[in-house]
Amino acid sequence: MADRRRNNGPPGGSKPLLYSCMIKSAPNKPTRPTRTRKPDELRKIYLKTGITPPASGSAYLELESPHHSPTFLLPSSSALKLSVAVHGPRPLARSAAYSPHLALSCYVKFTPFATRHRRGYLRDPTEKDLSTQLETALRGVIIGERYPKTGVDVCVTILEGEEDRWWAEEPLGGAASVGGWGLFGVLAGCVTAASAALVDAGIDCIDLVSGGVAALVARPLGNGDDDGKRDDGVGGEVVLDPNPTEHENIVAACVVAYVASKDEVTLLWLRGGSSSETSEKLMDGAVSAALASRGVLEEALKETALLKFSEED
Amino acid sequence: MATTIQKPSASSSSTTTTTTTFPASVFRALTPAAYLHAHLTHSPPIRPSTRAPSDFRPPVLNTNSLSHSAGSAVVRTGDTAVVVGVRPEIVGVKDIPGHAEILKASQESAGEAQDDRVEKLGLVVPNVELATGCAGSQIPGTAPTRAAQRLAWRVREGLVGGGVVDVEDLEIMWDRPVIGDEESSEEEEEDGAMEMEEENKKVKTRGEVVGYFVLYVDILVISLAGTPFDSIWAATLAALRTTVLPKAVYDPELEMVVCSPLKEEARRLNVKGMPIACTFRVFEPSRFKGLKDEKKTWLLADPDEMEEELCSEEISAVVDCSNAKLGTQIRKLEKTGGWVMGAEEMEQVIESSEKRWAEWNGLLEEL
Repeated sequence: MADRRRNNGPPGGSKPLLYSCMIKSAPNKPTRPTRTRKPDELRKIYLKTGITPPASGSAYLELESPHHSPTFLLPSSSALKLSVAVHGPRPLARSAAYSPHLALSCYVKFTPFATRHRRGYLRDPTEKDLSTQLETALRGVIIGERYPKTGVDVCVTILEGEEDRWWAEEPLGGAASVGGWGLFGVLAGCVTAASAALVDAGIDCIDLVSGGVAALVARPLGNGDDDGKRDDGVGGEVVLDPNPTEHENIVAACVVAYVASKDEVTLLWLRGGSSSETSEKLMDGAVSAALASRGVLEEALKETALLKFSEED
Repeated sequence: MATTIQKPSASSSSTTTTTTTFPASVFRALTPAAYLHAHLTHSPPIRPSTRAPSDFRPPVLNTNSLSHSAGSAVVRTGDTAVVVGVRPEIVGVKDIPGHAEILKASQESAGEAQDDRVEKLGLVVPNVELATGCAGSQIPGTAPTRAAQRLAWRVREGLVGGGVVDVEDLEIMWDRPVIGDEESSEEEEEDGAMEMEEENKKVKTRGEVVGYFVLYVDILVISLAGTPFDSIWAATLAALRTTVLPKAVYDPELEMVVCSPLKEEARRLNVKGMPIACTFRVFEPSRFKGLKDEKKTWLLADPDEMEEELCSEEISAVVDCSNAKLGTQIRKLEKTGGWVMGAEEMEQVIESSEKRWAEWNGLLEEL
């Protein structure tokens, strides 16, 4: 079905590029990047507010770019880049039902070029799910009672997503499936950036909310005793802010949206990880990752405040 | 606030009507037309953004910051920001209905007419996304608005009709071995190719088009504060100029086109010319209440959001001065929504566009 409101490609359809390194027998195979950070070290975060001046609040978040190989055309992994625009508070439509609280709507959309696999123009279920999760995370901090009959729209555009796994091992180079481990990092980034944008828009919140991810990575066999402390009995290690391309087998991952001053978690999403003990470890890890990203969030907002108040003087 | 007489701020220092007890921002919100008029009647005329009427906003350009695009660019002019990513995909000749006829027609008319395969086969696919929350009226979750569709159409027209990308650059060739009977079983479906095969029986191999690169040009407006087309166009051009296409080889065993992942084997996309878009609007105060007697009109370059709302007459020129022999070439000229612009003003537009071209050329040439 051709979309009549957009320019479409050739009527017969086109296929993503097939690189020779994706075929098993081919030479020139790139090597999997390895994690050079410490297990509890996060990637560097760049956060800036006010990049969309027509919106009432906006923020841009970018994670440290990985080192790209000089010989390969294909990037070894991607770096999260997203922009958030907040519109409102504004009156709800006349036809809308009375709402005693703030009506919050979140839209998360991947751009077509955000992932290795070209994304569509319409929101897919993954994006709808991310939108709902983000809404849950933000609802916990916004003081909704102060805004009756009012709406706020949070629009997140993901310019570059995280990858779900090491792409070269797949026949289609990461094209086949969606909804893998990469979404955890994306959601954490969305929460942190959206919190900054909400503050930039001047919407009353009880506190900042920041996102953090931790993952349980199974150790390769025979390499289990170099770090006794982190070994939790199932042969895994908890790493903060994982880049899924760098880890061969992630067993479980957890993302939280954490409100530091109240020590509350407004969103928790955990996948994998059987025992309650590992789950707890993962949650603790995610919370400490969230605390670390909160530091960046605070710094970025201090800058915003300085700019805003010097303008008003 | 309203009762105190405020010192006019830097941007409004030129307003002649300083007797008002309102701050400039209130004046601006209540009577935008009079506000703009007051600025322009100042000598020398100045716009609320402190620009002169013929001044464009200074552009900022960044390229190749997106990992998953073959070429990408971010352009910021004032408060308008645009991100463009170019992504190649491959379409096999077998998937193109009636390809043999199209190829034949273009080969027959070679040298006489422009090869129109890029347009006929849909090899360059630009799309504009405004629904990113880039402005208050652009909330996601809706189908592309008319504005977005129109912008996408204008970009398509400029890229495809303007011949910015050559079809030769997108072709994927294969030297088909010609060994007599063996191949006839393989390609029964390619009737057109068969006819030509007969002519070339003596040759051992023959170059043949097996597929094309399709360039998906996705344009995202991140922040919209007036004149989106100029930024969109410049960002698209910059993204195309940085686009790198891998070496593509047809593998007859797999019956697929396989690309080389090596950087050294890849090549730059060849972009023809340097067309630059420049948009102007005409401010006609007599259309507004209270300013009916004003006969003068102003031509405003690169209007911002507020000016766009007040001025309905728009003129958009795409000029290319890259060919020194031909001088300034006008690639496209569009004018909508009014009667003020005459031949004289048109010259002014082109002159102003030439200056803007030089500014953009300085940024884009190095890519």
